Amino acid sequence: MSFGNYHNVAGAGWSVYWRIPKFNGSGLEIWWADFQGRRVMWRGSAPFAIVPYHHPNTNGEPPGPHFSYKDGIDTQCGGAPFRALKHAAPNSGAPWQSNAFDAATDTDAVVVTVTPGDDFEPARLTITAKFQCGWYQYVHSWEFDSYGAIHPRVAMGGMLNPNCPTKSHFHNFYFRLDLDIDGQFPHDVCEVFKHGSLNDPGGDKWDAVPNQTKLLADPDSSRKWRVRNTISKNRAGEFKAYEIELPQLGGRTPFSTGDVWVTIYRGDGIQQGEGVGVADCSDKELETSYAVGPLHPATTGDDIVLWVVIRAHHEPRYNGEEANFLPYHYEEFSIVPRSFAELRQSGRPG
Amino acid sequence: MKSEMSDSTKALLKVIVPLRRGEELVAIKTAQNHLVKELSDRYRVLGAELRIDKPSDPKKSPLRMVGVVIVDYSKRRNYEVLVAASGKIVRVVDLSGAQPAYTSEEIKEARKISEQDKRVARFAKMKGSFASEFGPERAADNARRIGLRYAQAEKGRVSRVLAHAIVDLSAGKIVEFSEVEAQPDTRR
Repeated sequence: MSFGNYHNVAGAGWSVYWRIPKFNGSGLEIWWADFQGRRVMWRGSAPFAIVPYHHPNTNGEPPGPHFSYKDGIDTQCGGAPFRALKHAAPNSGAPWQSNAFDAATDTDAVVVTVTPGDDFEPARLTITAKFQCGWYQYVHSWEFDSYGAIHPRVAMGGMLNPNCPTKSHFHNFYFRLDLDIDGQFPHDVCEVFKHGSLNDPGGDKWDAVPNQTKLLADPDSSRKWRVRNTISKNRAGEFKAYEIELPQLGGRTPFSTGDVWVTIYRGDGIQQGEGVGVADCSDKELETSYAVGPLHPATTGDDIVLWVVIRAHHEPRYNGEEANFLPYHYEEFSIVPRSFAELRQSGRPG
Repeated sequence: MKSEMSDSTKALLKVIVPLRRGEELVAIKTAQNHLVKELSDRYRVLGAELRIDKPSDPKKSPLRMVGVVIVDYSKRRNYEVLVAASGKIVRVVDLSGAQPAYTSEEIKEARKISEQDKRVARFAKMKGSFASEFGPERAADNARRIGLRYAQAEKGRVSRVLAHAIVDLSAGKIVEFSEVEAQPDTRR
């Protein structure tokens, strides 16, 4: 089996590498994403998911006492790794029962498409692969558009939990984002946006995050986050940045306790999701082990790494549309440039 | 056509070329030799992959490394040995409690151990039964444990998971077995 190499693709103004490190592991990764010839991201991945169920009557799946799976890297609590499938593998329970649909090489798993812009949409470069995870299938998909935005997406498919098909549960997907704005690391700061009022000026503000920490979504304050460089500016003299826009379809639970965690780069071999879930099948290690230590927003800046979770509460349609298989349900968030890109007419770089 | 690749990425091109088989074998041998005094006679090389860490300075090119993951079953320790393209050891990372992804060889071995147990064999021999792996709770002594789910498919559709077995590859035996008692599941 051939996994672990870096593959370059280009389109929609982007040059991007993709990689699946292992056949059975943590899924699709993006490396060295450049837009208009400038570095945006060193690495992006979605290495684990935490899936707590309504309980206690789960018929052993997931097992008590926590009734919550940790899937992907360093699986815990009955969770399963992400096993790379051929991209044409059926969306059903069949790939769980058989190895016939396993990807023999990483290129069997990944589909890359470049979609031209049209009268309504920007051009898009999309990299997608599907992974078996127990009876579930997860689709990892990264879309890069010609407006300079990145849309990480994940879909849930496969089949319902055979032991408790009626039980509602949350899917919490954790993304690790190592943005390197214009390649000028380690000189980034993380900031939180707050809309306080409609007063102008002063109704909106950005505040620097002073320490590595957990942050919460708050639609009432139009909350978003950004990684802003402290050196590189655009032609207007504004610092270049990328913002995180995170719509949440599900709320926080004792197993998924935050929305964004601000950490720093400690290497590409550690703090990739390992160790999370060990204590009680929750994400608390992100707060207690990963997002620990100072930041330096007022002086040098830091090499910021963000963890971002997107979640969905799944109320199974077990007597209806999901009785035989799970139609792919996508959740996504966006990473949007601010003062980074120079867009030409129609948003099509050329 | 104008390239959208940044100069930073262009500087990586020689570093990130695909791993060659010969390079992989040299890295594995180097890692084994380096750990020879520490490893027991029950270890397994899980694999080797390219490892590119960000350099400390953006103007510098990163080092091309091969990460060799080794599990020592007897000593209950997991390592990643980083070997440079030159063949020199860069560093040895003790993975502490983190368990690297199971390989197909390990899963086969776990099933062999598991299905020698009569309780498991009963399920493994059922018509339409199949097994898949899961990650059990972490062992306090860092033993390498693999969970196995035994499920049954009838007429191509999975009916349910029937039993769980947890195999300790360090000890070479089943450490937990449970049969799933079916309860009706028609309401939330």
